[in-house]
Amino acid sequence: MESAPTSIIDIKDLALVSPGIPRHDDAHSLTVAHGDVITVVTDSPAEGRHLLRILATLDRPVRGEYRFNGKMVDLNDYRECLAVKRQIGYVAPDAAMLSNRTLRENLLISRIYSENDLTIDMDNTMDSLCKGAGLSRMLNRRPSVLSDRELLKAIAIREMCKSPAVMLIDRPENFM
Amino acid sequence: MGRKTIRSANRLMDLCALTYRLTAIAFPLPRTGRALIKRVIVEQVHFTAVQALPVIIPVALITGSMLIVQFSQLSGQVDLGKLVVLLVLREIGPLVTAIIVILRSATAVTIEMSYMRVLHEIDALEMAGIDPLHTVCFPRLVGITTAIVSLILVFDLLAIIGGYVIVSGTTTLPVEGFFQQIAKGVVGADIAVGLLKGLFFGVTITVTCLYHGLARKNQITQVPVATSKAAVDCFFYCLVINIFISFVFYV
Repeated sequence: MESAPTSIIDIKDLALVSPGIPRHDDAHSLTVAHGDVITVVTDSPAEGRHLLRILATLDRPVRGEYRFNGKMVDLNDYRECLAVKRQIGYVAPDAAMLSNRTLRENLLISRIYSENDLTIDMDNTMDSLCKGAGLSRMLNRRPSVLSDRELLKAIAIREMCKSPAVMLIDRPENFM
Repeated sequence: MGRKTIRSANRLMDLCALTYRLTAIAFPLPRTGRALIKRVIVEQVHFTAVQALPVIIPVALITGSMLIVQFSQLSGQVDLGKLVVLLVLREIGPLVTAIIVILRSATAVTIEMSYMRVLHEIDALEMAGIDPLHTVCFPRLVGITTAIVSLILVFDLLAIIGGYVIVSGTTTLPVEGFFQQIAKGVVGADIAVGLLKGLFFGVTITVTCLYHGLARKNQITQVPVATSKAAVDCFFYCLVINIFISFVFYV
């Protein structure tokens, strides 16, 4: 039976195997509902990153259930995960931009794809966020010219402008 | 069966599955992302075909001249035009073009895919809700296949006409009646088989490179290994396909 769609992400009996960390059979359960702000603290950064990647459906757990908006998601089916990923904002050191596209195209990639138009322009929200982050003059350049800090800001803007249901941020103190 | 045999069989099945998945995208082509797909196709054709012309043109002229010079020594004993056509259109044209595409584009595509995998750019596409098979792999399949078929046509024309012009203009070798012999010797099937080989080479080269490029990698040091494997595999598969098609049509 499907659970009621009060929670956004609901994971049960999740078993993790992080790279370089011996396997243990601790089962994790976590529910993320609308308006929740949750801090995840782990013994090692790798384990925390692995958990975030599982929440973003980028990695697969050894076992466990993953529900998004009450619907069970088969993490082995990457096409099913695409619809989930679109609704998740993921800001982490391993989040990337496409190196052969300009910053503007990177920020608009999701809209370019869905609206079938290569000439679309940024909306007011994205424009003001870029101005606030000092990225306006970089929009027509490739991401490789950005510093690590600027890249992180650009990724955060891209993910926020997706209007995600959940925002996953690794080490949010980096924004301070 | 040994472990290596099982691994090779698995890889072949994976390649077939990837080919099926990629060709299935075209029937019907998804409505979303068409503009992006078209753009990547054009970029790929430009890189693989247009930018390869400065390499293909001299290679075709040298190969054509070389063949005509060698076979004109046997003037009177063999039908020069027919012999050149048999070799260039049926065998040398497609194979030399495939080798040039493997050296230039196949290695480049494998490296590009590997970097996209290692630097999490594939993940970035997925997080935008974009299927990498649609926007990264399918346009490269169409682009490289179109490019290789076009390059085979260019190679054939330049090797035969350019080769003749060079030999007749710079030597006193007996090459008269060359085009009349070609007109008599060439049949539509010769051109069609050459292009068919190009089609198979294009699909094989692209799928092999994508397979090696997109294979899971954690470190940048795995990129050259994947590139080397992809180039060797592409070359071997093209040789096998070449001989297979030649057997089917000419034996």
